Amino acid sequence: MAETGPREDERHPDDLIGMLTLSANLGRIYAQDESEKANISAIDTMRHSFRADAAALFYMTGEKDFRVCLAGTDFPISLPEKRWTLCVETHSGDASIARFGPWSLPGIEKPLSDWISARLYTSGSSSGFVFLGKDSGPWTEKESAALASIRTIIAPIIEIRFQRDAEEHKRREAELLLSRNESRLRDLFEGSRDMIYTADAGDSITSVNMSGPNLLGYPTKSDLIGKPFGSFALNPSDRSLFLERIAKDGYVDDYEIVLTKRDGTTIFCLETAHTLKNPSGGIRELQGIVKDITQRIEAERDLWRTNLQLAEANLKLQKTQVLMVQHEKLASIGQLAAGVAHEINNPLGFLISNGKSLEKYFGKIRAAWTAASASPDPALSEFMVKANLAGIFSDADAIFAESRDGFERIRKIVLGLKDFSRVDRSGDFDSYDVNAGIESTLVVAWNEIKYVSEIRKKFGALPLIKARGSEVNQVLLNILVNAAQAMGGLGRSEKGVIDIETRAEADKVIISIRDDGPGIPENIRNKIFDPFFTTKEPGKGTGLGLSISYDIIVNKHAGSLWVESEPGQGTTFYIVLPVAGPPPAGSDAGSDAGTGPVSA
Amino acid sequence: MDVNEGIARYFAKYPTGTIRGTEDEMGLTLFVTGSMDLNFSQDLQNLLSWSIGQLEGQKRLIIDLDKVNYLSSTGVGALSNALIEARKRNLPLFLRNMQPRIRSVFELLGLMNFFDEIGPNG
Repeated sequence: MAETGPREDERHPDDLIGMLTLSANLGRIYAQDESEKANISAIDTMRHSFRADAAALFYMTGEKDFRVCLAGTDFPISLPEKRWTLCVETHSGDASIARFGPWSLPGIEKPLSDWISARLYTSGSSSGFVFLGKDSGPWTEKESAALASIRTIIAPIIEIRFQRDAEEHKRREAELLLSRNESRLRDLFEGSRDMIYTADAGDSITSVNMSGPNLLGYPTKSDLIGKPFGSFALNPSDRSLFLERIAKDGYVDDYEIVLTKRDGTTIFCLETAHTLKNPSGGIRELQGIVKDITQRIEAERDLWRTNLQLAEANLKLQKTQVLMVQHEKLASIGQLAAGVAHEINNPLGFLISNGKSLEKYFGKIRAAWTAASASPDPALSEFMVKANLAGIFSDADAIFAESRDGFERIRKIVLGLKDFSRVDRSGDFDSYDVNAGIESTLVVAWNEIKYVSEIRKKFGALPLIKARGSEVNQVLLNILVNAAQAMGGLGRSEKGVIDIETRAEADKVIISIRDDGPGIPENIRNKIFDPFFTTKEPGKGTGLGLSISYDIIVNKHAGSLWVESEPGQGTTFYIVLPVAGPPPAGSDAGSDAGTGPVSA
Repeated sequence: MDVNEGIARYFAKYPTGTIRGTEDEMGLTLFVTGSMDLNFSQDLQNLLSWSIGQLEGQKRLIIDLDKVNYLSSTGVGALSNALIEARKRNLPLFLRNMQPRIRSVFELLGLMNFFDEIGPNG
């Protein structure tokens, strides 16, 4: 700004007109320019009016910045607080006007001899000052009074401007804080990896963070906003229960719910939510956080599944173990029976042969007696009558016949027992005559059957089949004994009938055993082959017989075993066995035929 | 076995769920009502464990879920663990009257085929 000296007609402020002019100028400057630069114009004008060599306006901004405006410069200068304070301390005392000198303005080497300063205002602990300095002689009383008057006029202006500036500064700071807080909350909301949402009283989603659409597989928030939350639940009634609870308690903690994604897949979620109520007590807004816990649930599920599978496998293993033990037992019983039979066979042998010899000798004695009866010796006749030889000879035939019969029966039973258990053969697959096997089994089972049933046999011409005879006989025995026991349980006065038929068909042999017992009800018909299943009283059967039979026929011999039955009309068991036996080990059927000696 | 004694011993009172038990010659039936949430399910697991220990021989345990309206993962766990224990003891365990939304959770988890169900009159 160009420096010009005062015009001649410009009045000094110690003159009333001059003072009014200066006041008006200052008022105009401050009215026209709200910025800080008005202070420059103002101090320039002051220096000009007072004809000072230097002038400075010391003040503070609303941001607590310490500044000075020097007349003749273009911009306010910021001073460090200490320096500013040092300067303004030269305006000493409580008086509003001070005189001092020599002194120089900060940053200006040249001191001036006479200074006058005015305190413009005080705000808190700070004040504003105007300093005027000149070299041309001391300031007069009039000039001092003029400055005091000017001070009275402009001080309020400066003070108001300072306060306004300070308020503006505070306002801006508060806004900044608010905006930072808002940003932080917004970041919290948007940045959360859990879904955070709000919904209205009707449970329609009103706002949501991006984790919401991400969780549910939608591209944008607007895919969720406006929709009822329940529309994303797999079972909407789960959401209804949730809403009931939150209406009652005002909040819900850790509510598990299954949600459906856009692609139809399901996720397991955990929600914690609360409501904002309006004054009447109704729900104004619902605010919730939804967490995806699918991974955790799936890990737990895998654990349960594994344990359940283990428990089932364990149970199966136990049952198999029992089956195997039972197999072993039956095998040893068979061996035992065969051993006993063998023992009986020996003495039976010489009983039979002795009987024959005895009969022969008796024949000779009878011949002698016949010849002797012809001789009429009275002493001999009397002796023979007394000895009742006639009676003896007459009974003898019957006795010998019965004995022969008895021996024959024992022989058949022993043979049947040995044949049944076939312990003289190896335990492996061998040629087996089905019809003969049935016959020997009937011998063993006869005691169970004979009181309750007749047997009718219709045997076809069968080839020998490859099988483990002792095992097949076990199966036949099991079925026959079951039939007999079922029929016996009916308590009928007349004996029933068991029909046994065999026939060959292509490469198979088919056996059917039909009884006219009570039949098997439909609801247990598919359970009879289960291990431990039994309809007998506790202690009267293990329930293992048919499961073992099934194992032997189906698994070991690659055959089939099934039942047909009508309650009240009887039961038929069908056994089908391949003539060639089971396929070799390593192929599909998984049996162990032909792999060397193997126990049952 | 007095099932109600067991219930009193192992079960706290919950505002949202209850358990009731009846015994007959076939075994024990437990009726579950309400919310099977976290705490409820933990107590239920203890009760089931105790009940399974008390049932002799081949008596069966039926868990009736007709009135269950909420099933948490802890509830699924309680039932699964009960089934595991029952299998170990070769004890028949049946679920009864599962509502479709409860069943759907088991099916989603692929656990349904491990459980046996019994009809409403069985």
